[in-house]
Amino acid sequence: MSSAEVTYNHSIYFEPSKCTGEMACLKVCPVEAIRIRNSKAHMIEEKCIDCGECVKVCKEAAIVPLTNTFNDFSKFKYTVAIPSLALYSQFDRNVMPQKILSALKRIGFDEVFDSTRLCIAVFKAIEKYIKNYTGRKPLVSSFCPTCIKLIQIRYPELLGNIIPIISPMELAAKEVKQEVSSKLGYKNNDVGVIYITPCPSKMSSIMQKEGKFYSDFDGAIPVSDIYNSLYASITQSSKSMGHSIDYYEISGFGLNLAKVGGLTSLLGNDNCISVSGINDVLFILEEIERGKLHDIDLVEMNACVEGCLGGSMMVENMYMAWNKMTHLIKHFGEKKIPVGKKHSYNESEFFYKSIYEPLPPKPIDASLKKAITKITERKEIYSKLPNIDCGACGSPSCMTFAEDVVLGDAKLNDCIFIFNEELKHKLKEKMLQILEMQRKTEER
Amino acid sequence: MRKQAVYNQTFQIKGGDFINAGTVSVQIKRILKEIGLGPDVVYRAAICCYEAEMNIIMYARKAILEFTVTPKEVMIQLIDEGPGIADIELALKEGYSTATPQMREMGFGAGMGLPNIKKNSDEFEITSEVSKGTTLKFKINLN
Repeated sequence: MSSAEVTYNHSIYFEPSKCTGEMACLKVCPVEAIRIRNSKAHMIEEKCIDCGECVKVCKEAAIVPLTNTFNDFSKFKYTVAIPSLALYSQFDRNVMPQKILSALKRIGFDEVFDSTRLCIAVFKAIEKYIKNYTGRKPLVSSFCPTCIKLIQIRYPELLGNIIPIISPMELAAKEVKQEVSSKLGYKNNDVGVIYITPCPSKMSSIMQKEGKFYSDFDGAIPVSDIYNSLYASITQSSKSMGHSIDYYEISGFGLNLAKVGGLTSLLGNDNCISVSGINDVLFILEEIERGKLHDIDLVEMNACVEGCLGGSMMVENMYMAWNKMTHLIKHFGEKKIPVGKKHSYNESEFFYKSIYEPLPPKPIDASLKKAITKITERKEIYSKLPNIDCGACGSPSCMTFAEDVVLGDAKLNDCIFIFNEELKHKLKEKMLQILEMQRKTEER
Repeated sequence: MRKQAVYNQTFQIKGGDFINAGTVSVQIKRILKEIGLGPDVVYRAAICCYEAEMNIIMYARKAILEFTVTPKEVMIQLIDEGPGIADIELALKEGYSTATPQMREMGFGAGMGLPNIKKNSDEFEITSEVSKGTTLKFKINLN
């Protein structure tokens, strides 16, 4: 695959009319994918991993997640909402998931689906995969699209370490599609399966409607967008529930997967690590690259601190969300697997059709000779810079600025320190000229 | 005359610096990727650098690593100050190692370092003087 064929899908975009060039996003971007030119921020598409850190810090709301609204779903005859497990942590401690699901149905979906039951099936598949794995360690488990993208872009050599098992959410979407079309007689295209999402990162795979990793979801609505109506529905009509409380079989076992470290604690393997927060994820990936974690069995990764509970489009703060999720797990029984509807999945349904493809950024130049020259120029320019990464030039660090100059995206005197030196030099020359003229006139 | 395309960078490696073990090879790997070299070359260069870096950290006092890329090859030279190698032929045998039990406990000392570098490089040269130091040079061709 040549780099020219790669297309980048992103789940966020920068709205120039709202951007005031305040640089908060520039400094927070973990992969240095943002530049500010003429006081407007923009993204370098091939570098962005959709982590949403910039969305969290932008005061002007100029970085817009590409999620959906209810209007987008009018084309479907039947809609089913599948909430992220994290949604259950967003309300009072005594509000049980069944109540949230009923309310979700009332605010505008034909059906809602709880995926905790499927978490068990996915967990079993992961457990088996780890047991039979003989390749290079550590294995990496992540349902987080951002972590996967980061590995595709920066650490493609670790792609084979990722457990290629789909998330419970994806499995739920697949199941719902099949069930609704077979039981209710709708065509596949008429059924809209909507993800209630804690962050925008899933949007890029949802928008992709083909390929090996396309999503069975038809759209996603952020938790924050429906929070108010959901809250109102929960508090106002606590009696008139669509279904009896037992209709949804919530599994405490499955709920574990909503928490950072949940998977590893279920596995009962003490030779795992769970890392959350994009900067720590980057650090751990670097450690793996340095060969430091070769005797660890499994690394669980989440781009947000506290995982999906800390997603950029959640409402409750992550610590309270964690508190509530822990409460729910205890309430439903940490190891309890509900009896009732059993599923016999074909094992192949759990797996992606192939391992993820590498998405390395383009080299600094397509020609090897020019690339070497440019990387040398970059080093020379870098040595002239103050190396304080102030960002005033609109590039996030002195090194990226040096690269931008080499690539023609910035001028050397965009650096205020260089500019200052140039100015001093020019002023000095000008002063000398003036003095010289004065001397001449005096001589006459 | 047009200037020849050459990239040059030197790194210092300190003996016993297990905390930073592997950082130099990671940096070299990154640069090779930025230049756009193929995964095979990057992989081989990274393995060689890592093994060489570890050798310094485990056995030598300090070393200077000189890293050069031209359109033809990747060249790496390490000049270290350290105990030197008395019998180079023996050191190049797979499985031969003078690592201490502590080093082995940390997962090193399988006696694959130098053989691995030799195996993964296209040109390999080593000279050593006991109780002075060792000079290691290796190249990976780009064509």
